[in-house]
Amino acid sequence: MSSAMYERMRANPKFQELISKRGRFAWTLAFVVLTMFYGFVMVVAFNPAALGQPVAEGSMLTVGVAVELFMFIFFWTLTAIYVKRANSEFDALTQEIVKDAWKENK
Amino acid sequence: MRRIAQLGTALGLFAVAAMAFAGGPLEGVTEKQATNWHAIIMFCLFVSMTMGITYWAASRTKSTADFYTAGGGITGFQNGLAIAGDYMSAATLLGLTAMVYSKGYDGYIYMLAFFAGWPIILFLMAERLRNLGKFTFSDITAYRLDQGKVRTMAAISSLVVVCFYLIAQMVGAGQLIKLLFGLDYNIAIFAVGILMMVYVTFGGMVATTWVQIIKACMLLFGGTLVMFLAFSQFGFSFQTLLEKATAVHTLGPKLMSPGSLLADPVTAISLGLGLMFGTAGLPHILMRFFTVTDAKEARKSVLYASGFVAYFPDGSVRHHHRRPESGVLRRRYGRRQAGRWRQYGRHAPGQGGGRRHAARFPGRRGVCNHSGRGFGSGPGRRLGNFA
Repeated sequence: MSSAMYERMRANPKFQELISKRGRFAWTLAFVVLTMFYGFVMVVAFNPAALGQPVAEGSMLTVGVAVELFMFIFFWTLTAIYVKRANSEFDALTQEIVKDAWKENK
Repeated sequence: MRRIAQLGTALGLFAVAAMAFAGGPLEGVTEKQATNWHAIIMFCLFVSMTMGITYWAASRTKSTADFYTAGGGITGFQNGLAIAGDYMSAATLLGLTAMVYSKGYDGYIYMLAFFAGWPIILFLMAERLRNLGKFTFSDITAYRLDQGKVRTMAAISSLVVVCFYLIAQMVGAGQLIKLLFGLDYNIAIFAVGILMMVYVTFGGMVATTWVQIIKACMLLFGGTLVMFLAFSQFGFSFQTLLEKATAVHTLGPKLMSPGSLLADPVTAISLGLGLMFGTAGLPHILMRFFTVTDAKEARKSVLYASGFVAYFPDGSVRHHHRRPESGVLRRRYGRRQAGRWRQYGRHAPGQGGGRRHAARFPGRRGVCNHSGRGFGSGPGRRLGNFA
C-alpha cells in the first residue's frame, strides 16, 4: 500500500473513532487489571494477616486463596471480553476503513 | 548455514558455562539413579516422535516466514496450546510446585503474578507488535531506531539473558535426565543440548509449535490426572486436604497465609512488578502472535492460552498441598524434607511411603517424565527465537 493510502486512512474519521474507542477500552481493562493486582500486592505487603483469615468459621480455605482464585477467573473473563469486542466491532471497523481507502483510490 | 554454526558455537559455550557454574554445588542435589528402563523407553519414544515432527516440518520449511513464524498458518487454538506449552516451562512445573510445597501461599502469589501479565500482553502489546509485521523482537525495536545500534544491543542483551536463562534450564534438564535415566550429568547436558539444537535449527517454528502443543497436552493431562488421584485420597474434599496438609507441614496453619517468603513490602512490590512485566516481555511468547493467520486468531490464542495456564497452576496448586503428607516426589525432596522434620523434632510422615505411592499411582511418575520432555524442547526453542 502506498503512503497516500495510509494518509487517506488516517484522515478517515472512522480511523480516529477506532483509535480512540479501542485505546479507551484497552486502557480501561488494563487499568482494572493493574489496580486489582497491585492492590492485592499491597495487601500482601502491608496487611498479610487479612489474607490469612478463613473465609468462614472452621473453614480451612483462607481469604487470600479465595481472592486469588477469583482474580484468575476475573482476569480471564476480561481477556474474553476484549477478544470478543475486538474480533467483532474493532475488526469490522478496520475492514471498513481499508475498504474506504481502496474506494477513494479508484 | 551460518546461523546453524553460530547457534552451535553459542550452545556449546552455554553448555560449558552451565557446567562450570552448576557442576560443583548442584552435584549433591540429585543422586545418580540406577538405570531406569521405563523412563528411557518413554523418553526415546517421545524423542523419536518429536524428531519425526521435526523432519516433517523441515521438509515444509522453505522461506524465512516459514522458519520464524510457521508461515502464519497456525490456528488460534493450536497457537494457544503452543503458547501455554511455552509458558508452562521448568519454572512453572518444577519451580512453582516446589515453592508452593515448601512455602505454601507465597508460591501461589507467584502464580497469580505470572498470570497477571497475560491480560496486559493482550490489551496493550500483542496487536501493536503484530501490526508491524516483523519477525523478531530486534526487527520490531529496529523499526524506528538506528538498525546497527539496536541490533547490536539486542544481540548483547539476548545473549546475556539466554546465558542466565539457559544455565538454569540446562542444569534442570541435566539433573532430570540424570535422575530419570541414571546417566552422567555431563552426558545428560550434552544429550539435551544436541536435541534442542536439532529441533530448532531443522524444524524452525513449525516443529517448535507442534512440540509445544504436544508438551502442553501432556502437561495438562498429567496435571489433571495427578490432581484427580491426589484428591481421591481425601475423598474429594478440599477441606480435608487442607487440614491434613497444614497438620503435617512445618509451616502449620501459616501455610495458607502470606508472609513466610514475602516478608517485607519492598520485596512484595518488586516481585509483583518483575513477574508481571517479565511475563509480558517474554520474547518466545510475543513471537507467537506472528504464527497465526490474522489478528483475530492472535487474540483468540491469548484467550485459549491464558485459560490453559490459569487452569494448570490452579489444578496443580491443589495437589501440592498434599505432598508433605503423601511423599510424592519424595525421591527428589525426600531427604531434604526428612532432614527438616528431624530438625524440628517431629516424626516425618510418609517416610518410606514414596516408593509405594509411586508404584500405586504410575501417573505421578508420568509427570516427572513429562517435565523431562518439557525441558528438552524448552531452551532450544528459546534460542531459536534469539537466533
